[in-house]
Amino acid sequence: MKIKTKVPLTLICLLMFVIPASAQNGMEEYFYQSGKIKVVVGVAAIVLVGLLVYLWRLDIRVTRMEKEQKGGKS
Amino acid sequence: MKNWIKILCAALLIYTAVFSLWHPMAPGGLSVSATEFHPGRNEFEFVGYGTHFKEAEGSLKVYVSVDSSAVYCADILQVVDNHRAIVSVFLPDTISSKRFGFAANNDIDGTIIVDTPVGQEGFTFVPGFKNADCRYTVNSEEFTRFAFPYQPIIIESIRNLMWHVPMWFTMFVLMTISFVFSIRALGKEEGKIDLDHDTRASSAAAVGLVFCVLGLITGSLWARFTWGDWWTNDPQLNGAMVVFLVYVAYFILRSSSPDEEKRARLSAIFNIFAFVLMVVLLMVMPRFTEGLHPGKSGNPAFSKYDLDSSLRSVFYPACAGFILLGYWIYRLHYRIQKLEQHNENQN
Repeated sequence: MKIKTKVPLTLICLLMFVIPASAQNGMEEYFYQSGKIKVVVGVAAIVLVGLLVYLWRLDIRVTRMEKEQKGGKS
Repeated sequence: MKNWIKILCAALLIYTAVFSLWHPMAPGGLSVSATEFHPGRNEFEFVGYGTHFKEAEGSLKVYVSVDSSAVYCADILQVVDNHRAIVSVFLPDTISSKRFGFAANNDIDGTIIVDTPVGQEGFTFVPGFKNADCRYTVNSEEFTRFAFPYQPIIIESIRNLMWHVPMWFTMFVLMTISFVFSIRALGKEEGKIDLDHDTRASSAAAVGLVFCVLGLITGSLWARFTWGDWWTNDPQLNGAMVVFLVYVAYFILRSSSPDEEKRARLSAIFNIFAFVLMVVLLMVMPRFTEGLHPGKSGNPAFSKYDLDSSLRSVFYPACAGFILLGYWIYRLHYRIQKLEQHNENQN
């Protein structure tokens, strides 16, 4: 359980460090490269990450219910 | 929820993800290297985007238009690669204007016009008076392939249309569901409230708020690299922020009352006002004011391409896919809420 929650958290932390690191030479240059295609990648990533985080939260609520049910039965 | 709806949703979203990025861009003119032109020989570099200068080297021609009255042919000195060509143009002593527009033409790309001309903002290449020794051809129509239209400044980020805009469409659909269930919750019987409909309304609003947040963040990133700022004082943007805050207030209101009936009644009434406010702020108000955001009278940034078939072929499936996804998540949220309520009642 602990590992399960830690893996995505580590991934998110890693992403937070990797993205600015690759953009260190000036975020503007990074995003202006090759006709601003990076902006599209950024926007698509935000949508996916946002939806995944939300699904994660829903998952936590289901897990909590499952636990309660187990606790109630035993 | 039927399984085929889920499969359809997944298929539409996969289609969107693939084709919003895979679809080619139409070629366009990025810039010219010179900032000043004078009578006599002028050497400069012509930079295109997505062009094929090298591949169609034989048919490449570059034109310089002066003050929309005359067009001069430039001599091609060197084609560096597909995007860059070094050219030189001879301008006679008689030119008095300081406004120059630039265009290139070849057999693969058709006519490309540079969107940042020299001398005046907003001035562009004008195929004016035909110079005797320069016979230019403008044939962009023949070369319109099935590609996303090239637009100055936006360029590739036009693909964001398939990610940013469906967020708002999805939010709209979910808030409409929320609004309908709020009305139905109130309209059960006199003095009574339908708690199940209240749960549905709050679920739809919760998921709608997620899409609202995603729309705000993606819009902000896009604005940073097209308008130069994370946030501009545009009626559409400010309206969206107000709508976001109103729906946040809806959930604060819900959490403030411990009594179920009271909470349901209060939040249903609040939700009706919130929905009306959303329609006014996002759909009505921006159409009567000026601003940067497309889709209104002041700035028809996309209107020229609203009916572009290549954009539509991805945009409509994207909207349908995200709306179905939003509905799917709303159903999940509602079922979880129902289970939680059921468990609480048992305990």
